[in-house]
Amino acid sequence: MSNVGARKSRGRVTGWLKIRGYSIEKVMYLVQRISGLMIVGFLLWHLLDTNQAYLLITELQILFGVIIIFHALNGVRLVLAEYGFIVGKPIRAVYPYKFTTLRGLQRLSVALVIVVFIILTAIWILNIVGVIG
Amino acid sequence: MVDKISTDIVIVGSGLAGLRAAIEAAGRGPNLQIAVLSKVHAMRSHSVAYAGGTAAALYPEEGDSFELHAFDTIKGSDYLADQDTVELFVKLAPREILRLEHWGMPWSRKPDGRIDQRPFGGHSFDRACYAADKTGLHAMQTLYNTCLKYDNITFYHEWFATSILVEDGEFKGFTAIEIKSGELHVFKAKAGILATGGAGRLYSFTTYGHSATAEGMAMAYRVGIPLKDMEFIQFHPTGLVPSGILISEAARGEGGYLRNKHGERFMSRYAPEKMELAPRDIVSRAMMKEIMEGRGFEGPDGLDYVHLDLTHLGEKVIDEKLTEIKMIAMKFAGINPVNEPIPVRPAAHYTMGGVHVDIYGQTPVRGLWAAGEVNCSSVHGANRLGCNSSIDCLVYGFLTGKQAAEYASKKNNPGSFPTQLVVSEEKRVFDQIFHGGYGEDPYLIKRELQNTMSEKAYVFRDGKGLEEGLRKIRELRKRFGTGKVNDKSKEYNQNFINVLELDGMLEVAEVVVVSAIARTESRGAHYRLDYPKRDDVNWLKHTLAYRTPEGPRLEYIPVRITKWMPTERKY
Amino acid sequence: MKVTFKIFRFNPAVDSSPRWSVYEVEVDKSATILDALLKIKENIDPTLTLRYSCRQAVCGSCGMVINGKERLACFTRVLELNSNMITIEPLKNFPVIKDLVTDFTELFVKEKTIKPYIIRRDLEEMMKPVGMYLQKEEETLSYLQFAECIECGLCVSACPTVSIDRLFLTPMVLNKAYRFSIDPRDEGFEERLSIIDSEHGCWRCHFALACSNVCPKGIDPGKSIQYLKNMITSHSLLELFLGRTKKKKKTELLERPHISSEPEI
Repeated sequence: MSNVGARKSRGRVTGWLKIRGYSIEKVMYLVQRISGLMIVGFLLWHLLDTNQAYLLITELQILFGVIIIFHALNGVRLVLAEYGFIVGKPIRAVYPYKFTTLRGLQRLSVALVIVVFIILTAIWILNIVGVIG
Repeated sequence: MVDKISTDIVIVGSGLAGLRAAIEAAGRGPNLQIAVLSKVHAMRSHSVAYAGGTAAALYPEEGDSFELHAFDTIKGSDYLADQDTVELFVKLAPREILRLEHWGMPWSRKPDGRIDQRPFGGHSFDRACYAADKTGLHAMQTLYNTCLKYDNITFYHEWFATSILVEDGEFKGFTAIEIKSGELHVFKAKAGILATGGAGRLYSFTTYGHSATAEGMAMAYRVGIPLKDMEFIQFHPTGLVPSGILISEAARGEGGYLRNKHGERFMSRYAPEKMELAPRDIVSRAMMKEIMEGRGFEGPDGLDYVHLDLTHLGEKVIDEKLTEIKMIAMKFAGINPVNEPIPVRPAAHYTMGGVHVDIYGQTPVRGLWAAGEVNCSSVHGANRLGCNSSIDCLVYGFLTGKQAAEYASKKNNPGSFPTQLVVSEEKRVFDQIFHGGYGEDPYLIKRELQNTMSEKAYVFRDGKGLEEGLRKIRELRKRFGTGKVNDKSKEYNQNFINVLELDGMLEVAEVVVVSAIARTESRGAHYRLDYPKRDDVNWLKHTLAYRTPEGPRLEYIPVRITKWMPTERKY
Repeated sequence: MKVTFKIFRFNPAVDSSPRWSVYEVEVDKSATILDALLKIKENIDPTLTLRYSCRQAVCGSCGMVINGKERLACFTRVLELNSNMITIEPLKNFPVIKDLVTDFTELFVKEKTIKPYIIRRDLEEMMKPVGMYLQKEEETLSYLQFAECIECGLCVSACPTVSIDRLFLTPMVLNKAYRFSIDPRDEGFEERLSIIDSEHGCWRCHFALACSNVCPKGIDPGKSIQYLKNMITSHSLLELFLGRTKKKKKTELLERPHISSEPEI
């Protein structure tokens, strides 16, 4: 009937940033979003700055690579998850509740993404440092 | 000035009965506007908490029949049920199960895909249809969601009805407070259905949620509709100690045992044939007797208990069929029922009595029906069988919804409207209680009321105790005054709503105790230590309590008997 | 033991901005947060406002943010928080009405848009059934987990997408859409498609699993939403390449001849 007292809700973009109390997937989500935004930023820079001078700055080059590696790897995991391939089957909700999305194949894939990310990052950094050095 | 909302049918209460009535009325009258008022969000009514099942004779080819269901119900009621009503009720039951099935209810199934049924206390055939042990949650979700299909149903979430408007014996509408804004509104309607549920919060140790405070009964009582058979309050044998949360009868239906301090299955002494699956009044008395004779366990705050033992059922049965019980035991008592017995004690669970209605749920007021626990069509008599109440809600939801729709469609001219009643209600609610209220702290009064009822009008009663209880309630009434509201803000004032609830609770508590004092016999859930025998000669009749300024005035009407003559009740 | 509660307070009539109240309460081991809050309300400060009803984690009234995470007050024991200082705020992503009470109106409107009910062509049978639809256990299991939603709103508060897109359907509603669409009895998936496949539909879910992290009933909305995406994709692919859609298996009806006709009143 009336709108008395309704106050604007609490929590806007900060909803993205909240990690305490949630599982690793929320962290992955946050990093995926930020890395995605950064890739867009880089792309714009890339298109506008025709000299591509930034490629000469090693730190930036490393950062760009690291971000792309994470975003791509995690992206593959997300595609698999979002079409329901690694989230587990529907089960009976029996207390203490088990969430198949927070365990099993999906959790394994998170671990896999992190491990492969670390290996590829190491190779990438060593490669660049090696090439330049 | 008070806002007026015009509609065709108003339903107060959004539990199983209210929602079922809304669907029936909306389906029958596409041109009718239906308003559903609920003092909580509509899908949160306490019907969500029933767990065990819903009774109906679905498979006559396997030996069940209407006849058998009716007889079990009547025998369970200790012959106080009106038998023509029961016969109608059991016949309408199966179709309600099928309706829910069609609307999306996830009934548990037999291997061949048919709806499964489990045994329940007092039933001679396994006829409780169930959805694991979350039947209520699923039924409520199914009905609430089905309501959303109809554009002519409007939900008023968090509206608190304060009075029924009646003029010349005809229903005119309700007044209700929109809790969010604190404003009083009038619902002007052709037909009304009360579906506000029971009075369990009169007791401190109860399976009811905090919202079951009997204001529907109080509202009807205030406009002169009698309350019937209010002395019969069911105590569910297995309320979890210390919170009183319901451990469903499904636990015993699936084969759970009750054990005393010495590990004995004591039910063999009280109901050798049915054991744990005897009707609830008998099991509750047996448990209290064990506790009183020192064979129970000592509990916190005097809540002594016995054990409900599920350990022999195995993890698979518990995980598949008793998941909610496992959750409740683990969370609220820190006990895993797979390995340990659960501490339980009888808890107030159901109000057999209620607003006086006829066989079809019509109150003495023209245009007003009552459905579900708030009514007393007297299907349950002196003691309700497990899983008969949910089907009662569905059947009476259907019956009242159908009649209200037919009545409202036929009635073109709404007639005069009693504006003076609205004005006086506004005065009572705001001037007398909200602004001018005096009295002691309502929460203190409420605790004392609940403790009094739990002490004096529990499983075992006696004349002296009841008299003391009545004195105490009347004293509390005085101390309550008009009700003191400490929170003076307008919006979402829960303190105010709590005071209005308590006002009704005091009224209904008095009726319960006065009716119990008058009934000098023991029948079903009403057990008098000073009159331990059933007395069919003098007391085979229903109590009707009318409101007078001096307290309830009692009248009696006979029980309608068709073919089952009262005999001794043995299990 | 003594516990300090720091509670978010906001009364629209008096306060221009929220404030915090601090209470010290003696609670025993088995007490839940709801018990403690009611103790405060009934003994210390009757103006404290919160929703509560069933106190057994099945009605979904008492969702709130407790020590930074969305939980049901009745389903959280003081002990399990392992802290003597407990902060309580109303759910996020909902407008605050007063103190811990939030406004669910928008959510209920969203719920209605996705047609959360069984849609079938046999209307006569739906209102006046003559039998039951047979359903095998594995068919029931395909939706049962997702049917146990109590609409408490915890997932809505936790969801990072809701926090930036007010029109996002929310995990609760999308879960409901899947629950009904996958039900063997339902024939209404295509009717729901235009809403759930829209700009604010299931594609805005980015699998942060905050919803599954906070769900108090073990529903795992993070799972059902992904299945919903799968369902929409395979539906569209089939339509695009084969020009047809997958038909559901017809439900079998077992007649119950003994049920009587309606009484004339």
